[in-house]
Amino acid sequence: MSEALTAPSELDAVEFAVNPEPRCACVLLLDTSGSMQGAAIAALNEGLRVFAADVGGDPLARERVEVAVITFGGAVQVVTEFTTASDFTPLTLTADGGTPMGHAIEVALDRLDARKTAYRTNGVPYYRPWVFLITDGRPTDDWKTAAKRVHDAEEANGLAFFAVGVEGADMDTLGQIAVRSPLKLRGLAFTELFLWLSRSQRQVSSSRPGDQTALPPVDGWAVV
Amino acid sequence: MTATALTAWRTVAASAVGASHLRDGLGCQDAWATGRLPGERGVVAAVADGAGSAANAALGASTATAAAVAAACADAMVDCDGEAVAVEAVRAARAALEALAVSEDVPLASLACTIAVVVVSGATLGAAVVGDAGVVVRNGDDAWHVVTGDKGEYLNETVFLTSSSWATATVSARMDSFGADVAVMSDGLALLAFDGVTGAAHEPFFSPLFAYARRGGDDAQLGAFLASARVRDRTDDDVTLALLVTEPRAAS
Repeated sequence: MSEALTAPSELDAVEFAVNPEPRCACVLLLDTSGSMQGAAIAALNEGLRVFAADVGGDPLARERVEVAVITFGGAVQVVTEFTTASDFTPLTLTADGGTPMGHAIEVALDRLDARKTAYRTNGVPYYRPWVFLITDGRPTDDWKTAAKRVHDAEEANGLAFFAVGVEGADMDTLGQIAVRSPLKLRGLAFTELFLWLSRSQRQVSSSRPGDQTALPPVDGWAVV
Repeated sequence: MTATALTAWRTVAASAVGASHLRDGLGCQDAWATGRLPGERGVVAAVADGAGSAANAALGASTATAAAVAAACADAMVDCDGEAVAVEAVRAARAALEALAVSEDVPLASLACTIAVVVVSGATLGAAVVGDAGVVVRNGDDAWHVVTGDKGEYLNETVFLTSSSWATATVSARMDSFGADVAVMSDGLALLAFDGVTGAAHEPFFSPLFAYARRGGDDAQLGAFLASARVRDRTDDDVTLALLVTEPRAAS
């Protein structure tokens, strides 16, 4: 196989030629540290499956929403590169190790920047991307640089960053990382959370200029 | 000067409602209007794209296009070049929306629309655009010009005629009208009409349409084309296209 054909940018071009729909990138930034073991990680995995089925079942969103999954449990891992929702099959995650949240956020922002560049290079219109962080703990690494980058990116309208705290999460630190108020998950209502995320993404990915994207109410899953 | 040295302008225009508007129970929120300048000095075409989210967008779009065309055809503008007339037409459209908001007692933002106006006035051709509506002009075979307004980074962002920044966001241009072919369109056609990377006009899209208009195409046929699967497969938005072409005037 020739080198040119294996270059990621070339493959991007093929992908965008096959599906020229506008894209709506969504990064799921998931805490898979040791404290998530047991019921929490099981509920998270079930939530991911529900999310994949719901977004994948929407005729427009399945071609437009692109999902990436990045986990932080011991190490930061890009579990799923940006994948069109129609092709997104979540892997079953396991929980172990510390909580390198700061590094994970930076990896997410780097991947998003690269993805936007790919959209522009290939002439694919796009929506404001989302980063959706879910954690039950506090960062065990330096998170201040990441927080600054999140604030700068929100200020520049470069993305929308949402943080959700599971029982035990350090909501105060989350509040310093995210510009939008972090939300607290009610119990292990991951399924309701991911259905909300799916509906929100379906709404954004079909929006037109001037649409005030009023997100669905969060009272099905968040402590309000 | 012989009569054949002059050109007569032909306009063909149509809108078609988008699948997403049908799905959401909305009608077509695009509008277009055309007119002839006094003394056969030229023509005007205006296209407005009502914001999908705005409650009275269709009314805003039809009001804006009618006001723009009326202003361009006013006797007072008869000595102005095409660009000045087009900019004035946009200003008149904004003023009409402000007046309508008051008379109907609705928020100005509920009338949100983008607008593109083209005016041929004698030897000059002017275009003025607010938002992501667009104008494509072909002067001769190889000289393609695109005039489009400010738009944001994201697909669902643009500047509206009802925005507070409408005046600074107005983009205008002046060209030679002689032999020009012109298309004025709403952003629903952007995926078909423009190269996504460079923003250049997609010649294979426009050339047949210009030829069709010059051959005597009519509004109903153009509308049928805009509603056909060939267009529908590429966009779920309302689409509007106004074509302005010249034809040699037969000697009388």
